Amino acid sequence: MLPRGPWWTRVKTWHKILIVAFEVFIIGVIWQFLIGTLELINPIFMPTPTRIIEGFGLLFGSGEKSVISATDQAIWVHIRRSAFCYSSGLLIGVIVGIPVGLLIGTSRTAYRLIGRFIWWLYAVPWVALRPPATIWFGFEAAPVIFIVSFASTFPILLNTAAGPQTVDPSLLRSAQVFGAGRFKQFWKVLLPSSLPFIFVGLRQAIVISMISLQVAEIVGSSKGLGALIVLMTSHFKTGAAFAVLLSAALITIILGQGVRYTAEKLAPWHFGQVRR
Amino acid sequence: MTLRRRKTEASGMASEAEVDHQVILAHLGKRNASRTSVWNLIFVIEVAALLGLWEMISGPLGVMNPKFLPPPSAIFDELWRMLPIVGERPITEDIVFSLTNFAYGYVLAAVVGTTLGLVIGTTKAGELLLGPLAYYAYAVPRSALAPVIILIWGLGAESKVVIIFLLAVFPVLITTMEGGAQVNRTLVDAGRVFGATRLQTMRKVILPDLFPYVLIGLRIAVIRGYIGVLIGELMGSFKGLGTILKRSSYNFEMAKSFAVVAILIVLSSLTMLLVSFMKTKLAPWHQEEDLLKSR
Repeated sequence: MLPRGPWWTRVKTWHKILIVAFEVFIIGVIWQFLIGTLELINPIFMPTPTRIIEGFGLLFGSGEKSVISATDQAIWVHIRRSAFCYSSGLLIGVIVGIPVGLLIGTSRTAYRLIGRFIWWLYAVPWVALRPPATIWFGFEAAPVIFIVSFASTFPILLNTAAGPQTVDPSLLRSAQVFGAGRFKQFWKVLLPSSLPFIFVGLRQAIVISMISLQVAEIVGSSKGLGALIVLMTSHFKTGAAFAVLLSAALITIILGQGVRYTAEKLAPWHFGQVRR
Repeated sequence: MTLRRRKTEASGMASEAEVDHQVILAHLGKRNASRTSVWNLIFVIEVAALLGLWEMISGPLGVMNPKFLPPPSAIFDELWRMLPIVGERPITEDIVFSLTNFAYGYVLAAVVGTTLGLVIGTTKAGELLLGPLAYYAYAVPRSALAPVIILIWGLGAESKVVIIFLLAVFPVLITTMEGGAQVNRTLVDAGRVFGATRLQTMRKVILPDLFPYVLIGLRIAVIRGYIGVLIGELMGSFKGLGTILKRSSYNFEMAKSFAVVAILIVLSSLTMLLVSFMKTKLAPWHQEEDLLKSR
């Protein structure tokens, strides 16, 4: 009844891909039938798969067919803005998250001083800061970057902090026996064993950042992929809106796999052995 | 240990975002707990100093314009005015609106997520057919669907419930699936050896082993649900905490929006505490520290 061993490992990769492709196809056909033919939900509001494919054409096509060119904003404006906000928000998250995480993970005093404030900050739902962020930072990229960095800091920070906590104490003791100073213990023992945790945090942050980017752009922004979704929806081009959404999902998956690959290269002792 | 490690590989990239930071925070807190009153005193002093500093810079010192960063005293005033029963301009109706939507969406997500997760996590067919699909569906940023959902279901409560459901269902689903994947095979085999039927193994071995994971999923879903409440109401609504937040911010009533944020923090923390309490009562045997090691 229960699968022996881990999840999909017993099925070959191309089998998995085949199964998923087949299922997506079946779902697409059912979707097309329910909405396109039966009109269960008004097809103007809920796009059929064929209209989602047309939506990609709307986004990237030029001339009269494109809705975006009608509003004088090429798709690249939106993509560039989103890429900028995403990368800078994530970068701030990394710059703040990793050092602070290492600090509260290694030092008891530091944790006792700021630990509870991190609890509180973590309890703030980041979406709630979107309207105030508009007041603080205006309407351009800055409020979006603020939200993305706020959302991405905590996964990185907390995972990084968990890293040094799980270090085998005997490793630290043997380092001490061989005469390693505090700095060397940190550099040679604590940091390498925290590396896998940092990568887990990064992978989480990549997904959360994408979510917060979309949300931040949907609520009160004129440029970016999220704004494009709103624009398309309000033009009743929901097919194009879904196309944007699927592109964002694709980017997230690719980025996540990229970090996964890097993690396996940099911390093979942790990620390497579970890979098969 | 090896068993737990396999789970990480199995879950792939998608579910990595669903790891509960609550576990890490609780672990850090426990490791570094200090019951000495000195540290508590220092903490109180810290809070007082921070509040005092904040009050000073956006008040008398005039470093920050109080229109942008209101002083704590103004926020407390506003908060007191907005509280139900005691306040002079209570926002009871909006709080009730938001909370009801949350409750509907959350319960729906819990039921659907657990059921689907059990099917995928404990049966081979479910695992093969629906497992990969669930992970790919998870990668779609569903919060970006909010405009379309509001277009379909309107500005009322329905669209909010749908958004909350969509955001909250995946943590439950994925953690339940993973709970199914990590069930100790030796225990299942032992049950079989002692002559348990399939139903008995399910009830006595698999479900107890998997149950804590369902509760962890439910706990993560709380945060997601509240984010859903906010997204839905910020996108377009005529009532609710998110609407007040948006309106007051755009009216430059920052003290009011800070007060709403404070209410939201209190509400989500209370819900979270409730679910955590449920977990310690219903599944007291589960050690969350082990989850940390697995990563």
